[in-house]
Amino acid sequence: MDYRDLSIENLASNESFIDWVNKSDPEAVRYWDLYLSSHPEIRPQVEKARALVLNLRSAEEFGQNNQQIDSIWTSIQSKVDTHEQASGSSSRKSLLILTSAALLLLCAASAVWLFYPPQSNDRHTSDYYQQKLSDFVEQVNESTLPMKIQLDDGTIVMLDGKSRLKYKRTFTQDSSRQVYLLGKAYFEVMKDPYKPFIVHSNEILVKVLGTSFRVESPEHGENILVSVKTGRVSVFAVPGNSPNLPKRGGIVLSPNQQVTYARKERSFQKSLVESPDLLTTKTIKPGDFVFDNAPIAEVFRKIETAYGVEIIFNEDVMKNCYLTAPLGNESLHDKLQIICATIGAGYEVIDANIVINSAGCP
Amino acid sequence: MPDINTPLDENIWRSFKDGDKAAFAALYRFYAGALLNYGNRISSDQTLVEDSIQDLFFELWKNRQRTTEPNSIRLYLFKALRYKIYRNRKVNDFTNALDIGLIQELTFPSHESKLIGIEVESAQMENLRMLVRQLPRRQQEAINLRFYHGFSNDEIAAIMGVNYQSACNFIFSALRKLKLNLNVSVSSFAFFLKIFLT
Repeated sequence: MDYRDLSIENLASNESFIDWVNKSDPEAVRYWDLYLSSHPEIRPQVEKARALVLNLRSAEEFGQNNQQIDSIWTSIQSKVDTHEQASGSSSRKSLLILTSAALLLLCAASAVWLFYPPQSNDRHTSDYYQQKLSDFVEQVNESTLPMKIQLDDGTIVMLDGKSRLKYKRTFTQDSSRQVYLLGKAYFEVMKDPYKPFIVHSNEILVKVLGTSFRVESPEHGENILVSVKTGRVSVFAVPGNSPNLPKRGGIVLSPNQQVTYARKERSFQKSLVESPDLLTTKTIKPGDFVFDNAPIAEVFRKIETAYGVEIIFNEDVMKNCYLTAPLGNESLHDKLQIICATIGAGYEVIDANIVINSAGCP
Repeated sequence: MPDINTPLDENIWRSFKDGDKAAFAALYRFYAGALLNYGNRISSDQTLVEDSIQDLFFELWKNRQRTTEPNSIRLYLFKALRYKIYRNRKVNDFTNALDIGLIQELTFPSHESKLIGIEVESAQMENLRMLVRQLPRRQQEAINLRFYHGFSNDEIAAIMGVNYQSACNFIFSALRKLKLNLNVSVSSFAFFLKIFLT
């Protein structure tokens, strides 16, 4: 097919072209990448059509109103209850009041201790829960497919295959909502400012303040890893035999940060996640990272805001450094490598900060 | 990519059919956001949209034993919501309210849309939104389904109850008009100047 005479609207309304822009169909991606590499002359209109497709997607997004979603659900539930009472099959009435925004929480752990407590070191959590096993609900997903579970507080858990989730039958009545995970799970936590949601995982616990995060806690691993995608999350080491939340000593993580807990040394090490994501794609426009003789301080400021990271550099020493580079969709580390190679500098990640080493520019 | 149910969808649907309320809640939570976006896009009457979503899910629950699993739950819900909104609107006889609402929205973005919208809304994005809002209503709807919800032209035709060619035409005409308007108003929209001259 010949696309050379095609207008922007022809391209932007072509289904395979849209699939290429959204990267939603590998075949379309292959096809268009190949076509473009052999027809560079159509690049200009392709770029315009691509921008139109992407901008229309953002223009049609109005943000999600979680309060509205919750209030509609409350109405549906009361309608269903009334209906069932009227038809005689009265159901367990849900007194659940779904409060505002559902938090997203991504959590993975593989902690056999929970169900088969280890004989060594910290046994407090297992002891505590072994005693009252009958008070607990255990959800087991033996299949390889994720299983959706709704907890009594409205939290939805997508329990991965070969995973288990355990919680007290009456966990919503406690001062905090606590769950124990073996394997991997995705949580959509109902927000309740009076009752924090806590995920236990080996010797650490993760308390949700914000939205989405991941925990990796292999059974015999040396380290436990918690990384944050959006929102804020606190991570605590669990001292002594207390099942309660420690008052201090927690680490607060922001997006694109992670913490590694060394189980033997009992120490936390904060750093950046391996490949930090852009914070909000909405505010990033195509061409935002195209630098034309830009002062280096401006370049770093842009990257700081886009990725929510802190870049430490000596502004005085680097005041003569300017950057000309058409950056785009590269990862944060690729961007930093390109920048540093261009201005003859180096960088390292220290404590979740990026430190630039440079002797200045001529 | 065609919109078909995943094994997860099928599991949830099966539990839902068996009367599992958690599965019903999961179904709702999974689609409510998208349905609200679409509903608010085809009607500016929030109460109408909310009531329609309520009816839709209540009836889904009530008739669950008689309903066979649709090939695509998402497609089915969108289609059903559209039907409900249009039917309820006729019952209440305010056929023109939609257009008046849209014009108001065009001139004065509602408090609500500011609150729920992205906090730092760029003026440029507002401009594109305004241009989209000036399109004929069904073109706007097709644009929403195609570019935000990612339905294929085939599915858009099914949801809107038109044939495939009409769905394609809605999208193509909308894009052409947008392009022309963007080019004409290039001086006033620095944003598009940037896009279209890069």
